[in-house]
Amino acid sequence: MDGIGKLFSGMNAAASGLSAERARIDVIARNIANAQTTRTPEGGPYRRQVVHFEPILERLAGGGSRTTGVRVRGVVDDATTPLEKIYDPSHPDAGEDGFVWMPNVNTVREMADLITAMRAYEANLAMQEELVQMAERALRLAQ
Amino acid sequence: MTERIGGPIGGQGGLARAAIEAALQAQARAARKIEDQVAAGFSIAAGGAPGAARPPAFAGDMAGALRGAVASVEKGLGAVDRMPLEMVSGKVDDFAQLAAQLKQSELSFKFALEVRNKLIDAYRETMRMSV
Repeated sequence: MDGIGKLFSGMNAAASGLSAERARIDVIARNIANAQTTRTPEGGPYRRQVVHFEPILERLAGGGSRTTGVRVRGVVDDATTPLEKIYDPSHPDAGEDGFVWMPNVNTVREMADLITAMRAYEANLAMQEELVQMAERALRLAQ
Repeated sequence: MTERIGGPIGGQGGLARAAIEAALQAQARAARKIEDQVAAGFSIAAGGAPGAARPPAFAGDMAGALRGAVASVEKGLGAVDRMPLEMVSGKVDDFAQLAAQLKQSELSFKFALEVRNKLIDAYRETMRMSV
């Protein structure tokens, strides 16, 4: 990122934030969609997934590094939230005792996560718009 | 009488001419410097080495400078032209990155355009000058 690209480092960072938040919203959508999935290829009910982020680092010529944005480090299964067990003998996946293991997806919690992700997305978008406006106003100075 | 007036006026005329020439040269130098910086920025952005940033067209005059700048902006715009195509063909799957890149190339194009306008203005001012 040199030359004219240097002018847009803020915009690139905000764009990476937008991508990351979009990935988070995608995962929330998958969780909500699978809130009732009781059977997966791995066996057992669907497990809620969580996204974690990491900074994008750029190595500097003189040693050390600099953060230029954010990216998704990985999507992992949430192993800490316990699965839910409900009594429903008519369910095809019910055990001998009539209990079914349901996914550990709490729709209310997912909706709350969705709202925070949306707000973060909007914050990055506002940043992007602000940076564009700054550049355009600076250019107007030259006219 | 003619000689008396002609002397000092001729002298002043010479001074004015020298001043105008100096100002013009300074302006041309400044314009070329800006053009060089712009072109260097663009060619580094396009992936060239910082040392070899200066396109050959830049060694020459103002017309050469303009040509070089236009060429480097064109290179940037070519990349933007391909982007929507890559989007449709599924190579790019991120609206945010695409939008940011489009905006960036638009801004750098505007920037180059502004420099060009200034150069053309300077040229017109020079041409309008009564000799």
